[in-house]
Amino acid sequence: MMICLRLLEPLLKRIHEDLERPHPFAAERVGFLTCGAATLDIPGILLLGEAWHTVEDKDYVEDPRVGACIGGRAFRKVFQAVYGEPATILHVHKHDHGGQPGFSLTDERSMREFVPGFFNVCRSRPHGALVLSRDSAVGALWTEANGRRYALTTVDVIGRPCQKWRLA
Amino acid sequence: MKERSKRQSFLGEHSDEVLSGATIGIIGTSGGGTPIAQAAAHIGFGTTHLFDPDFTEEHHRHRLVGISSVAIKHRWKKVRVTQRLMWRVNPEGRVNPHACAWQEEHEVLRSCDVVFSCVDGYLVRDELERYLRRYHVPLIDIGMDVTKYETGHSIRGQAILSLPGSHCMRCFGFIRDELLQEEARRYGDAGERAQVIWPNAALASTAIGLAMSLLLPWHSHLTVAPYLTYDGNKFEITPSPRLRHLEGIACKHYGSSVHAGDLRYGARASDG
Repeated sequence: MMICLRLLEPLLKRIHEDLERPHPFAAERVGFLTCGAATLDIPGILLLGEAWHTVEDKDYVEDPRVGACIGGRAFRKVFQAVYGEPATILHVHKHDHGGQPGFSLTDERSMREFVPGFFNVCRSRPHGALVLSRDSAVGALWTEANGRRYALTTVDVIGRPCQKWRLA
Repeated sequence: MKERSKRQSFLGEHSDEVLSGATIGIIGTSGGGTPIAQAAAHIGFGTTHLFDPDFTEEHHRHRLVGISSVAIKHRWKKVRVTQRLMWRVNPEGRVNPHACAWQEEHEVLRSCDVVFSCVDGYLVRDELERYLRRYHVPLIDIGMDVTKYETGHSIRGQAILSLPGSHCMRCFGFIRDELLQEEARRYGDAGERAQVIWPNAALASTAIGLAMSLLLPWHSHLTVAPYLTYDGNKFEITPSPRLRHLEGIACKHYGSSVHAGDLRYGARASDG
């Protein structure tokens, strides 16, 4: 199944800028991207980046075992944003290197814990997680809380120039 | 690099891959759309969706690239003529003809990297731009018009890049409510607009250039104006003066508050 994420360049730039900011104690930052969703003429899902939701400094929790740990308040804020206006929620963080990133074991474990909770707020939309690198990404998407996992297949960045990242 | 692409190799090491993987849409395959289709086939775009519900008639002969007496005699659909035109140049390209209005098979446009609008009228342009903005698809619009004056005729036209996240055709003043209202008032009584091949060819080439500047920029500091006007009495294509008034101003018509995607994607009553 084709899973395409399409982002406008200014939004992607804003996400990178936000994730690159140092945090007082966390080793990395995370955030949430909310997206519109659409069907395609072929089996697949088109996700359209709409808004970036920053996680405030105070919503991080100290945990030396992971690069970033956020508390329930950070999740509640993004849930509040999509409540009443259904949207796909992607949990986003960045691996600071070039080329296609991969999910770490910690990423794998944690997204299986928090993604099902996204469906409690908005059951009709797919939800998942996204890891950005400097010039690529990797993503995982679920259409049901405990259903099959789909891999993000392409990322289109709409700007001047346009970029198409075909993901392995 | 394919043998056919050697002379356009300056577009980049991976330009063949980018082009063969690209999908374009062409709305309207007459005087404006056929030279775009022809150029797209030469360049080597992988997939093209052609939209036009009309069939060929004798009065298309003076401007529809690829038309033939057989096509006119048998009243071939314009998209069939255009498909054959593209296949003669690039048999590897996938050309999907849609002999209908774009609204009838609109989903294919969501997969397009660029859509070319070669239509008559402001209402259809406005509707197409609204649709493509919802799916973050760049739109390139071309068109020409002939105005009669006491001393003769004036040929004018435009090539506009409506890039999601940037200025739209309303920002450029090209689409205005009063024009839409006037067109709606005259609905069914618009008459046939004058068309000739050479302005269409110039504008089509410009449109293709705009698309290439998006997909395979050949310079790191390309500063292509998104609204170009064509003066057919001077043979000039120049940036519209309106662009000066937009510097530092964001699009107010399709801002971040406009929701993207399907309005009721997977809608369930249980959603908040």
